[in-house]
Amino acid sequence: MIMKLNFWVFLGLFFLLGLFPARAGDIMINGGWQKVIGNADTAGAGMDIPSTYVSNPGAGVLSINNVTGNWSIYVRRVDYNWPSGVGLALRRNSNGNGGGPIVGGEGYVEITPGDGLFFQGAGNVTDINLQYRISGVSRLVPPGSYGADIIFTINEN
Amino acid sequence: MKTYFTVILALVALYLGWAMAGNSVTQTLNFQIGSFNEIAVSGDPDRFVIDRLNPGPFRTEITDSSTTYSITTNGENRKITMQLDQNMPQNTDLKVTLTPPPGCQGNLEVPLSANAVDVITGISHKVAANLGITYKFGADSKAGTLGPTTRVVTITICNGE
Repeated sequence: MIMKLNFWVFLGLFFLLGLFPARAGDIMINGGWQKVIGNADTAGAGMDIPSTYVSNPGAGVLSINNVTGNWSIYVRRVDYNWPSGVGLALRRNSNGNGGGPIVGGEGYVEITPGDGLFFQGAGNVTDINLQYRISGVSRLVPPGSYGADIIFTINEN
Repeated sequence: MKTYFTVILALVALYLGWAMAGNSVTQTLNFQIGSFNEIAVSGDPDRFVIDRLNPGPFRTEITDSSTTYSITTNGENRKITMQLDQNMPQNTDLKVTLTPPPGCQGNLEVPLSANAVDVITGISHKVAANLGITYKFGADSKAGTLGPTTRVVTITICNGE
């Protein structure tokens, strides 16, 4: 009987807590980058095409809202027709507006299929500029279109 | 009791999973690589001058290896063709040999004319610089005297099929 009562008390607490779940915050991104590597990028006959290309600073603009404390941003990618040997990285160009200090992500972080820590901070922050980098391009990569989905995830610590 | 414990564990796991799941957002990144087929030469060969023709059936030939070419392509199975803007004068000819990029097939002493001819074949994803060009100008005894004349050689990298 006592065990049964404890169970229902726990169940009640569980759903009560469920009304106030630990939030993960909201994350938004604007912008994007589409790079066309054409004749203007070549260095001339006898030279391989440049291997590295970077987007403008602010190719992506990240905002974090509805957080109450510290948070971490993770990033990963899902490739579709991405050439082997070509790397994809990104970095943070600004601290954005609002919130507390942001740590990490100032240097290029390689984006892999698994979640990797990008940067950490606290509070609501808007307009964090992101810059992308493609590396490892060469004449060995056949002409064509390539792409990947970049997935940003926020976790409140 | 075992049933309650199992249910409680399941609920705790469910709740923790819910509480810890982060919100995600996706940005799509695209890039496109065009087709690069670039070829360049270092300059023009020296003028071919024959002062005296060999008599009878013996041809007179002089060669020039003073120029080079460079190539960049990210394509598959490309080839290099060469052609003149007009045919050579009668009883003379101009042949060319290009040093092939590594792994490619080169034809030796290819006679040039107003029709394009294959000089190098089987070029895929190659970058090579300063490869040799050897021209051989020949005339037989019937060529007689020729004043200065010019031929423009067009070198093209194109689809090998």
